[in-house]
Amino acid sequence: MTGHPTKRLVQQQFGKNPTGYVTSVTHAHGSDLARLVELIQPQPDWLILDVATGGGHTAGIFAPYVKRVIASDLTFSMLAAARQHLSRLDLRNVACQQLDAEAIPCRNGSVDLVTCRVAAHHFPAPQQFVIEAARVTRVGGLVAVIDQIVPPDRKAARYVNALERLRDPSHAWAYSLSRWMKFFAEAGLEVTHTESFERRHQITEWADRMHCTPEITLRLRVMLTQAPERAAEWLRPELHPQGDGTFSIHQGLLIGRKV
Amino acid sequence: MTDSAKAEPIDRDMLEILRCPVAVRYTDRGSDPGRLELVARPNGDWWLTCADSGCKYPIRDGIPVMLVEEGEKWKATEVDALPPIASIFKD
Repeated sequence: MTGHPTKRLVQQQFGKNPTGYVTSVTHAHGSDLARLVELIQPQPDWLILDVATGGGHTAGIFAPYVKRVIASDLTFSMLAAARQHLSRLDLRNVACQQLDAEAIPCRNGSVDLVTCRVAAHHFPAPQQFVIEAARVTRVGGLVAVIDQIVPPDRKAARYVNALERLRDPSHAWAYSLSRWMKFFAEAGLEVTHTESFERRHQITEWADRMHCTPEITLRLRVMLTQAPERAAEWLRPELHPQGDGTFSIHQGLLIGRKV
Repeated sequence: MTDSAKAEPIDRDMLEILRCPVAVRYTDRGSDPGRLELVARPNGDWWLTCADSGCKYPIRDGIPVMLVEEGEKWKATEVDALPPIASIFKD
């Protein structure tokens, strides 16, 4: 186990049900995966490092296009499940490594592309991850991040993060797209592309995926009901008086080139 | 089959990329700090050791455990005295 409390929580949380992330429809079949490949246009001689690979879906979608992929994760059992999944796909150019996104064990400038999809909100210091990603990327290489984003308004951002953390204690913090762009710029990455997308979620299904108790699910529902104006504009909750409801989670996609 | 003849869990290309996550940041060990050596133990275990930092990283079921905490745990342990990897990880 790693020393940082949030990292320990991540290992516990994802170690509980690693195969769930392999089979998860949200993680395995997100349209953002195809979009990422379309935008990146991976080349046959590339080495890719996929950080926090989870079920191995990003590593798996890129592997057929490139020379080699390193699928990495903080949680060993998650990696073991990802390896099994990738082996079933007969992807023989994927190697697995257990590593911390904030201390990447690679030589400077050795990687053509670093990817990290829907994971950085678990990192205690995502800016340190971006610095590390930039360090291991060759000049001209790319860093691509997809992650949850929050509104620029600070109070609304805090509210959205509190909602996420109530559901999943290993959620560290989600940042605004503009803050991510600042992380990239500070690490020497020229942002070449950004986009964001909104996804609607059913409250109960969303809570159940994290095995929330009925009490926590109720509190999530109350938070959505009582969201202050700016947070509500972002979350856009639609609550049914007698039952479930839906709301929005936003994700940002950033690509940066090392200069 | 002798231990040294067992298939290495990491190929040479990967060793050219992998570095000790502690020593890779050193600024006083030349232009490429943190190089790792692949070491086979008589019991069939494999470790990655770093001369620059002294850190040692176990290869668990074919997966290098490249966590700083893990590598630093074995700094003071000589290679010959490293424990069986199966005994380190109970989870």
